[in-house]
Amino acid sequence: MNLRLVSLLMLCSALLTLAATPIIYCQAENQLYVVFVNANPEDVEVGDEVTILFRVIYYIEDIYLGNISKPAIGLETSSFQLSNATNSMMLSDVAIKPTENAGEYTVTLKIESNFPSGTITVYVVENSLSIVIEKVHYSGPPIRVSSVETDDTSDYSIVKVLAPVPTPTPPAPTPAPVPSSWVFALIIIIVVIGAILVYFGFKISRKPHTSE
Amino acid sequence: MKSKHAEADSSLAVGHFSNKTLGIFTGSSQKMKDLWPHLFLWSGIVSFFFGFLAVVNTLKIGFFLNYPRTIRVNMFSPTADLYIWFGSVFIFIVVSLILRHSGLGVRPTYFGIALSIMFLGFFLLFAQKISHLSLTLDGQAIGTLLIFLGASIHLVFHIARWSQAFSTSRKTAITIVIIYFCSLAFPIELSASTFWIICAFNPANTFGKEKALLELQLSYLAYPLLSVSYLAFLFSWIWVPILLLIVNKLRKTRFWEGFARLLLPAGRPSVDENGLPSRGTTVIWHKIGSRIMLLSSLLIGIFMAYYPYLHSPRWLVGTDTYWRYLDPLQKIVESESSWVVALQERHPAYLLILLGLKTITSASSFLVVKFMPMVSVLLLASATFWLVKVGLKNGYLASLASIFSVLSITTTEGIYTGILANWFTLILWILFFVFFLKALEKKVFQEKFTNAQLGYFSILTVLSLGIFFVHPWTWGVFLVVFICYVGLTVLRERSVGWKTGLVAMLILLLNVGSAILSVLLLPKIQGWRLVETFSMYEWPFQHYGSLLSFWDVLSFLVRVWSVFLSPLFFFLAVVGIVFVMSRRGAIENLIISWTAIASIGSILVAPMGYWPPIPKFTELFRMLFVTPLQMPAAIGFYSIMNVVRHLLSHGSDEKSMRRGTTSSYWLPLMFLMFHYAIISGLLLTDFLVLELISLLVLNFAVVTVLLSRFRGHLRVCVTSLVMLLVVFSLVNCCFRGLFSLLTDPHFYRP
Repeated sequence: MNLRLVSLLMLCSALLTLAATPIIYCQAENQLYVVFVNANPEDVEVGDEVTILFRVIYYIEDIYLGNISKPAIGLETSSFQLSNATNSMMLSDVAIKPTENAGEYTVTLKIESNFPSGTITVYVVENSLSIVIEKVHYSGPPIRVSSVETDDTSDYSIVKVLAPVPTPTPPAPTPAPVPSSWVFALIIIIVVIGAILVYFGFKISRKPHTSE
Repeated sequence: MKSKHAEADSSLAVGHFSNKTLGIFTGSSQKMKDLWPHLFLWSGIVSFFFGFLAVVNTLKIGFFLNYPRTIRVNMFSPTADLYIWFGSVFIFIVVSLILRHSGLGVRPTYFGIALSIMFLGFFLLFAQKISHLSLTLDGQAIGTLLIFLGASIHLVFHIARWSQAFSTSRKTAITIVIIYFCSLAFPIELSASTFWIICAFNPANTFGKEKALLELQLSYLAYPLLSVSYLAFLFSWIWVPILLLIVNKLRKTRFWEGFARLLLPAGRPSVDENGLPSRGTTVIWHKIGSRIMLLSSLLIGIFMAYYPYLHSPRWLVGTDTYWRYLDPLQKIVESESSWVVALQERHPAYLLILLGLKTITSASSFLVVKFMPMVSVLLLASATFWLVKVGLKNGYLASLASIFSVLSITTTEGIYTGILANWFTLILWILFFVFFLKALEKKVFQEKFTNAQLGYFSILTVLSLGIFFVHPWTWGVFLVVFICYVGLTVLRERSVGWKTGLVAMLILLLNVGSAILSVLLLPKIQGWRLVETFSMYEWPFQHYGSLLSFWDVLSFLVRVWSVFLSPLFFFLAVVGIVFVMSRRGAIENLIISWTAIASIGSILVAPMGYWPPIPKFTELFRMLFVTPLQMPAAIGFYSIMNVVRHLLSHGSDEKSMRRGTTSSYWLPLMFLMFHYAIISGLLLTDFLVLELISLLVLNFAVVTVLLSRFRGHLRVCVTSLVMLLVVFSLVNCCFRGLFSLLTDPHFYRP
């Protein structure tokens, strides 16, 4: 590798580092954090229901052990935002139900026709949660949170809302979800590789065994 | 051009050829002949790796990192991973079918079993859910498990029958499998490291975060076993002797023979007069390797200690840094009677050391306190190196121990809590045993009165009293470990002469005498700290009911501090302690005594400060700090690698190693590391096609070419590669532990 290439790589790394604006994240006191947001099912139609599951925590601090998370128990309402690339809709103060896991809440939303369509992301709206724990008021989350913002990779709060099928006309065959082009490319590559391997295998096997 | 090593391997492999085998590839070229087994193994490993990810996702393993999470790992995306897995399984089966059709491969029954399991898995996977009356099966989960199981069995069956089939030997095939697996895992570790390093300069960085999260989750796969591993390590002095006793009873059985064979190559290495392994062919490798490792451990230590300061914050990190050290030091500096002010503080001896350093270096108090964690990391790593070198006469293992010392919880916890005085006593503690072991080894105290005796006695006294004055709480634990060590040495070795025993008694008496004098004569200086220490020791005995909460407290600490705890580290430490207890020797006795006292101490201190309704604190973290995990972990890893090296070695290795030059040991490793760095860079581009090609195609091509070129050094290469993988995994764990300090300095000022 020559010197120029190394310099270029270093310059790129430096630019990438500088590109992000530094923000200082600290676990602020009296703050609630949403650490998990999941929406199920992932593909729905207008009129269907989507179940949203989310987890809320707060932190208490010890001088040596640091921040210790606790589940926020007793929340009653929350606001949600459903956004696609162009539109968004706010659902304010929706009643939420706690699940059997402490700090975990669920709510079922019915997808209405006036909701954003296409690929929508479900957010828990900033500062829409509020609770008093041991005479201390906690509120949050500090920013709107979807599964993209959480560090838990097991959640997914992106829902595909399919366009409603017109009822009077005979039902046209619903187009199957089209996989992206690389999937086709990958399948073709695999099939071609497989075919080549099979071909070679047969070719080799047909050769006379000289050692016998 | 085919290398001479490859030729050697091929010529060796000729012996394995059946007549049928020779005939198969007659029509194909030599290169093609070599490529088939590699393609077979690569597709097998890729299917194993992606199948493993799918199985992990199916199992929904929970772990706690700041808050409860569930492991969900994706290399690229859920869909892409699934297609790659199925694609690799398809290629794997096709290649094995081709080889089978050509007369190679396993027995039809085995082949049929593996294929049937896989097809059943596919059937269940696409059936999704099977319900009949009360029977409900999650087809997706079971199907995933079955496909993974079938593919793994298929690979294992083929490797088991390898010697009769391919041009490379079975041991070489296993080595290649390990290297291929490392080739998939290494870029992930490097990508994660890149993320953490960039974060050090810009805490808001998100470049590479996906891969860092993937690495994090893979590291926490064994999280559910973390508390158990911690407990198993602490109480190893109880269960390991029982285990060894049972195994000893089974001495005549095949199990014992196998176990004994495993212990044999993993034990104390035979050494020559220079303290190097006696097998001539590996001397150069060990000598250079140990030097490079020691240097690396120190460099890693410097980087780790300075990690929270790389983005140039205006603060110092760590709980105690300000209120215990910087503020008192500043007060001492500003006052006219420094000594008087220092003696009123909590850690007067340590503050006086800081004052001395400040005077010598002419640096500001801020800088002195800022660099003390770095000094502590380096000193502890060097002291650990020295102790293992003196105790085991193995420079390579000693260097490994110094790396494990730097990457242990002592470093992360030390920086996070800023317990500098405690840290310093740990260094003195290890140095004390270095000199004691040296004295035992040289039989210094057995001879007639000499200056050496006086020298050793003075050093040991100064070190033990240093611990006493710097941190009385740690001094108590140290003293009990020392008593236990001497007792155990007498019991196990029966080689401690009465003069050595007398010296030990004298050191004990001097320490106890100092304690009594401190309480009586210096009540306002050292005395009150000692009284406080004794009242802390007394507390558990007054609240003995709370001792039952030990498991709760341990689980609490593991949960809260999971970011500092690596399951891999604990696993290696548990393995290491089994090897330690199966042998006799000075350092083995020390580790056993130290672990035993740490376990009892952990039970005693755990309930202190712990309030079950709202658990927030426990003194167990101080005991964790002095628990000797580093040395057993290093011994455990070294022993495992020795076993692997022993199992994979064959005659051609020795021949080729004799022919090889020093550079030939390092070249394959350096090439591989350079290659992995490029692959990890490509993985971070977030451009799927490029990531796919780089990881699956370029990776295979380059690694296979390198393997063919350096075939003679595969055994050395594989152990070094695994070692580097483990080191990188632990480095990433340290980065994770220190990451929060980039934005939250976690210091305390009353």
